[in-house]
Amino acid sequence: MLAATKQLDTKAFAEFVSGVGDSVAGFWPEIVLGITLCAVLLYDLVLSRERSKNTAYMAFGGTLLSLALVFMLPSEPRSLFSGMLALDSFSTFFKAVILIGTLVTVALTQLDKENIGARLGEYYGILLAAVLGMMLMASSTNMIMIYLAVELASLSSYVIVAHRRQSRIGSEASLKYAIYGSVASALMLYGISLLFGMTGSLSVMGLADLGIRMATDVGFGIAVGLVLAGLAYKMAAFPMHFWVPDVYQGAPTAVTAFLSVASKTAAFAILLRFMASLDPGSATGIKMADGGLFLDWTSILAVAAAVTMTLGNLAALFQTNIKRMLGYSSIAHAGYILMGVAALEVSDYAGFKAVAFYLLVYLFTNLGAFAVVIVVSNQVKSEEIEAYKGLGTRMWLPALLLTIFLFSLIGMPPTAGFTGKFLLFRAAIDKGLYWLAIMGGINTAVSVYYYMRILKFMYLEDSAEKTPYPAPCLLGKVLTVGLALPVLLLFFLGAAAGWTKNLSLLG
Amino acid sequence: MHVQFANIVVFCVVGALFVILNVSVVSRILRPTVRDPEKYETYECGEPAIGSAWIRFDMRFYTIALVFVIFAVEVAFMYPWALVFKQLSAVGPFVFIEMVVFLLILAVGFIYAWAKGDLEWVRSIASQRGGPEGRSGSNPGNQTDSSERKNAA
Amino acid sequence: MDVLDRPEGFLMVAAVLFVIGVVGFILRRNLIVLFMCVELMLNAVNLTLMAVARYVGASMEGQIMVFLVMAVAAAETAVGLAVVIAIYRKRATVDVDDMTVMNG
Repeated sequence: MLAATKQLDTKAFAEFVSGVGDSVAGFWPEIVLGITLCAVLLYDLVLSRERSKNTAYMAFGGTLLSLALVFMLPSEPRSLFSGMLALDSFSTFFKAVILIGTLVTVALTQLDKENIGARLGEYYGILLAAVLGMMLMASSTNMIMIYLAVELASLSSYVIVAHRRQSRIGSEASLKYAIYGSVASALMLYGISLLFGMTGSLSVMGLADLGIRMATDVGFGIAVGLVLAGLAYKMAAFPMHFWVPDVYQGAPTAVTAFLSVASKTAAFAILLRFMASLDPGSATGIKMADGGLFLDWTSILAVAAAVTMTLGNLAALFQTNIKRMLGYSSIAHAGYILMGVAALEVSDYAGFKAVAFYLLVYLFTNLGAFAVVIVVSNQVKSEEIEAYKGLGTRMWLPALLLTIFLFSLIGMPPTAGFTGKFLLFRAAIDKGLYWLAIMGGINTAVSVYYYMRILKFMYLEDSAEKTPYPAPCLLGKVLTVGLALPVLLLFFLGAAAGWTKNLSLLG
Repeated sequence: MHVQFANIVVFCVVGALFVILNVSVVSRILRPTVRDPEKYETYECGEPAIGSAWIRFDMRFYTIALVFVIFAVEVAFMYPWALVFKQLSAVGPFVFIEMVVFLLILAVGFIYAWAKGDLEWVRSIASQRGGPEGRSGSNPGNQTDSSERKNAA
Repeated sequence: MDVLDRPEGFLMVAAVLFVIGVVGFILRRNLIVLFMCVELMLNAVNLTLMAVARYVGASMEGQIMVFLVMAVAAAETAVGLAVVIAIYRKRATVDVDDMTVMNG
């Protein structure tokens, strides 16, 4: 029994330790975020005063510092912590997107304070834990790391959705999210364990030659399919989209806004990295009886994209609650973005850029839409679409801004949504996926109906009351206008798409 | 070989002494003497010791299960570390610091839960459940699960 | 001994465990049982990882992953049970069919 204590390779261990020291230089944003997280929790514990804004300032400051550090990261692409994480422009971009989303979420939380209630220190601690998980998701290159990052983000999200302890729909939403989420992660994990069996390594990079060698193996197809199913849960894509409406409705609105952009962004970052390692262009997929390809990954993703956007849009048509409607709209958008992933061509990165740019646009647009929802519900005390009647005259500024955000969600010029969708459609057409582009077009036309319905309520229908509501508070004004500006500006900058131009993957 | 067996014997003796001392001497000194019928039950926490085993346990026990699970897993992480600790600590203090960081993070969580009072035994669920959403009148301990019966049928 | 030399047996048991977990999750309605089914699925994963790690050779990745899966599974169960308790306090039921405040 005691034979297990054989001589260990201490030299290799010493090298490992010095590698950890080197890697820390590329890991400062996460470290700062982790320290902020602990500080917020401990501050809340020791100097806990209800309704204090200090924890919000701490969370905001920590996130801002982390964002600054992300921009200061060395640009040289390299691998961190013995192949666990990648430091490349791809992960840096997505980290920045997630952190910007977090900054807005912290502000949204202050705006929505009445509704979220007490124990804000705990809330911010958990929020930052979720952000940390999502940042790790954006840079993971090892399947151990992918799993841990996804779970860190998920578990924190489950808790934060249930933050309003008194709210019955809040706990119910959290429970549904947690139960289906644990199944999704179990599916992904089983896929990972099968892939480990085939490669003998948990590194994502190791998948590249496997994808070619086992292109037509059924087991390989199942394993990759299981991993994709697990990721689809985080992206809110078919066939794992059913949790979205309940969770979006039940969670505090600020949390809903956070989940709809940050969680989705992080999941798409992993999906892109995973599919790029698999190189979907190399015609891998599920085998037919005669050895030919039955379905390649491009078609599978394309079908998933088409089904996702259709389901989301059709269900959104019949919603009466605006958060629920935006939930279904978020499913539909996962479908549009998947279109770009299906058009992924590793050689020219066209799909990458389209997806990355759309996620950036979607960040501002959706956060803006939810910000207006919060501003309105602070005054109107309702999240039903009926309550938006006559809002065009009673609250002119939020109504106008909501119009801009909804235009961007539809994809109409002059908003960034148009540019983003244009890039996605062009990527699909360049790849030869004409039918998918047509499906996307039809879906966009369908989506016009339910977005326009809100505009109709706001501007064309009169409510019994005519007196204008008091103007929104300063934070509300700053936030909604501040989010509307990038939505308009990115339309013009979009042609250059400067930020996403130089994205490249490690490996 | 014999030396190793001697180790095992020492462990056995120490283990036996630990139990005997604690049960017969230490607990006798420390415990308060409260004489009421509950104290003479097999399980003081109130679970009936005799009867059908197919009862629903009180939900309040899950809090204890939660804490147990977390710390059981923590120990699982320490075993492989302890196995290589002696050899690898020759390289430097990294191995030690690593585990200290791990335990500190866990300690932060534990202190937080403790200080917030989440480890307290929930005295009465019924008083918290009195709101408009609660269903009054159902006894948590004995509530039967209708769907379980449906499945069994 | 012959069976233990090859991973196929372990992988098959793992696959069966996983499917039992999935089927149980779909058929049962009690929340606690649902969590047990998820646990079954995770154990299937652990068995696969261990079986593969034993035959793959020098890399310890498989074993490490098993530890982490165990830890995360515990955390996941903890969060799930905490929410179950929160719901139970309000509603005195742990049947998923009663979780229908929101529909549509």
